[in-house]
Amino acid sequence: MNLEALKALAAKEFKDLIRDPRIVVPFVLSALAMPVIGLLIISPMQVAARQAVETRVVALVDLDRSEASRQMARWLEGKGFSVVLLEAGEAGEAELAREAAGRGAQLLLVVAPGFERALRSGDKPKLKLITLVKEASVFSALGGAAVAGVVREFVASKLLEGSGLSYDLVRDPAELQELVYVIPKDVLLANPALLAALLMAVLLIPLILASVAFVVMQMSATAMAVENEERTLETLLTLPVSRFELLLSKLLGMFAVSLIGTAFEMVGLLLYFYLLASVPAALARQPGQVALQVAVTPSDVAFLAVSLLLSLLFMAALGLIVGALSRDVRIANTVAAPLSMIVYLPAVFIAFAPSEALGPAGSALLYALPVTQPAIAAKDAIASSLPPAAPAYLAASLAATVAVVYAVSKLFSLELLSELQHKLLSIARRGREGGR
Amino acid sequence: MPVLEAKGLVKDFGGFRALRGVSFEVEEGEVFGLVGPNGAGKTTTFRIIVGLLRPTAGEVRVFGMEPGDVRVKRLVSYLPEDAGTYRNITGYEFLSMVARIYFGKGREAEEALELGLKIAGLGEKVHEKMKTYSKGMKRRIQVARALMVKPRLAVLDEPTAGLDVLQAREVRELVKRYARELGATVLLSSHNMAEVERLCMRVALIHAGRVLEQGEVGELLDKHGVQDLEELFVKLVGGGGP
Repeated sequence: MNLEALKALAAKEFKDLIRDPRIVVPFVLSALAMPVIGLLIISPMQVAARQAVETRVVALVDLDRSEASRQMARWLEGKGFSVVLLEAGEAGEAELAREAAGRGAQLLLVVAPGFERALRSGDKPKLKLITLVKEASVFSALGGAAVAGVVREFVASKLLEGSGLSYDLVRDPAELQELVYVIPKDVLLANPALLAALLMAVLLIPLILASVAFVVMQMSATAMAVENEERTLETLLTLPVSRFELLLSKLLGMFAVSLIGTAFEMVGLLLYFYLLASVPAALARQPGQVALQVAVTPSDVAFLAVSLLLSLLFMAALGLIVGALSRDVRIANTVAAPLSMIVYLPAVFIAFAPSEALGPAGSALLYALPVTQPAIAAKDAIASSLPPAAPAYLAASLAATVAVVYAVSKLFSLELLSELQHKLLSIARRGREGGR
Repeated sequence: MPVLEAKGLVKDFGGFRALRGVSFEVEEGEVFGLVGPNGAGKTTTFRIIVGLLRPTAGEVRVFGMEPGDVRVKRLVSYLPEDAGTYRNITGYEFLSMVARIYFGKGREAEEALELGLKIAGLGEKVHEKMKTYSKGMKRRIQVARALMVKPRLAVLDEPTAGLDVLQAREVRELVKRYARELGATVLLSSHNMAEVERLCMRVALIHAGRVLEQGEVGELLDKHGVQDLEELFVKLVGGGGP
């Protein structure tokens, strides 16, 4: 093998790609997009939480006009709420809600007639709590939760008077600590928020890996199509190097660029997780909780790294096929876009399907294919553990990657490419004519 | 032994026969021209000679070997008709890459690069990305790339196609001068008959995939009693004019 030629060609490939805005901009944008997406998720959550805390003005419509309902108003004020009394008159709930909003209230509490009687007889009293929102959103109802809690506490304490039971006891009658034990990891998760964070990672990482793989395929398809478009392939094929060396240099150059691109994506991903983790991390600071020990092991990380490298090489080789058969970048991108489904559909399936639902054969297949291996391995590494046959699967992925690279090196001839391009164009032409 | 022997080359693309038995020989040190209109089969012939395409029938020997062999590739430089350049690398980086591919990192590579820079003659512009180059500059870089490695056979497909009068003249001069200085054998194609007359010692006139006539330019003109190659070509294809 002519190593100097290989290095020179790989360097050319690297420089030509890394200086091409069509290649670099998507990487940078995706890196920037991740934290922005994180912020877009976090910001409304923070605003909603702040609104919930700031919900301090409650408009009260007292239709019972009893001592008990007045006591409840004082109870609310004692808990820090500002209570505005409204007269019901003939007004309906909608009119009352508008009036309450006009007087600065965020909630409207309607105490139905018979409130006091119900408390005395041990029945459930009727109340209505209306949250006044300026805009309907996922988090808009959060503000009512605090007031509802205070009202329930008042009603329960009244119902329990003389029973010798406390509200705290009735609300939570057993010292029941809920934990989740992740069997393969031998880890106890004490906080539901931590489980939610883990679940989020399980769902997102396969999708993110799929996204990286697709970007690499698209980049290699673009790079190869540029050779056709700019008419440089003929020159390349007549240089005194073998077709395999040419292909290898292309893959190496592209691979180096894709590693830089992946690094960008990873920085974005880390920022994204950092932002998302800030909420559950704050919730997790409670005494007596079991620490989260779900970090993947070093051997898992090594497996994932090798698996990802093979997967990216495989995708780059697939991209080369797409690009080689495309006369220009536009055609390459048009063909690559639907091919993204071979990456995204399995990734979505892996992300959402429990491992048991895949079955042993399905799981083995997903592990053996370079396209899906990093996604399923990442999910298992985080949520459970890698299967014992993992090294064999890595070998299978390596074999598939080598087979594709070999097949592409056979394709790397002007004769075959011209023939295939001609046939594809004929098929496309016949399709267009048939459609008319 | 001739540098190049093409015998009875036939090439089919699907149902279309592009070459119908093309035969010619190129001797060491000569500048040989394959002349004909667009679509005559010049590019297909060249692609077979440099190993990019396989003939449907017939045979090609370059320095007695099969074309496409890496040993042959080292002796032959090919300049495709519409060869492009890499947009995001500089002319210097491109020529440097070619030097490294042929000669590694030693003194020979440095000399090749020096020669390439001299042939390209782009001055400081050679350090700019090639996407900023004019068509003429891109062609100069490609000609430099083809000649800097001192090939024993340079195959130049329409080296002046698409260039304006001055650019075409510059490229012709480059080919002429360096072919003489380097002692390379040159096989070039053109549909510009006047250009071929100026550059070539011997020619083959090709039309619709067939060689109509070949030989030394002066002898051919005398033999057919015509003034120039254009007149000869018209006579051979049967277009006598009004």
